[in-house]
Amino acid sequence: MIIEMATSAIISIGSAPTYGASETALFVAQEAEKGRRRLEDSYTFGMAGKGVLSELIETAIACREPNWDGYGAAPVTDSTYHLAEQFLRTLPLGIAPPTIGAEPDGQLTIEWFRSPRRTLSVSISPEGNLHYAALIGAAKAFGTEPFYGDAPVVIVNFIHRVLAS
Amino acid sequence: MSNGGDVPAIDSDEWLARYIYYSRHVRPDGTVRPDTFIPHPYPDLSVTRHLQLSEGELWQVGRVIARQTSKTLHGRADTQVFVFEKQQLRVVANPVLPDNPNHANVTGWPVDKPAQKIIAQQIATEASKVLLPPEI
Repeated sequence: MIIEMATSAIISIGSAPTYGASETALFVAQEAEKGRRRLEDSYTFGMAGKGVLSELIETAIACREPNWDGYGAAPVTDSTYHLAEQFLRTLPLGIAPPTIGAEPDGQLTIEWFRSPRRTLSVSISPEGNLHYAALIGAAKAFGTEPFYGDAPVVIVNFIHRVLAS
Repeated sequence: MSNGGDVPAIDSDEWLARYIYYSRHVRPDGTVRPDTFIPHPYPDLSVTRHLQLSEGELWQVGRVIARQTSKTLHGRADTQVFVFEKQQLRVVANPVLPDNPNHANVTGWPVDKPAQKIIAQQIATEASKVLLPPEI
């Protein structure tokens, strides 16, 4: 059986879709996932290809011991790292790469920064909450979204707004 | 260096330094990430008042802390007191003797994490570019 899937169809899958239960549906889902992983590894589309996942690992390692900032910071835990990786992988393919950092309370931060007044920072808490804050011109927004395995629409929209020309 | 026995009142126009000991708190363009202004251990953010310190003395304070904590001093971001006050925060003198009589805490932070983040972000926009320590 040969199933072809256009790249655009894979790109449009922003996060894990719901699958049918038949053998064919499972096969299609597996192939779509493989395609998505290949695109993630590409420089054009994916966080892995753009080096963001490597930056995430480096940050998590650098901040795994207490007091990594010299002011008594809490360590970044493995669970926080895994949540951050999962979050990055669920972002729509082709989105501009963020930079990675860490906050003294042990949360990893993912930042899209275009200028001081066009910036979005998302903190990943060990409990799986995404705390975000955005400055877009004179407007500001902040809040918390739970992370259930899909990138929350509100955060994806803020990424687009920060990066819009 | 200012005398720890006689702590001058905090003035809204005076400058504060936040020393940076983690390289990723500095963006590639030299601006400071808001991450460094998240208060932890909550509820205080540690800063150093410039007061009458010379540049050399200011860097010396940062280097002493670096030595005590076995960290590398990557730079410092300077901010005026009124930048914190605009965010409904207060700067309270908190001399640490003998090493840093100019030490102060920024207090009054909200408990809520996203509220802390948006404040930290606004402070970062008004902070100086990160100044690099001079070579010894």
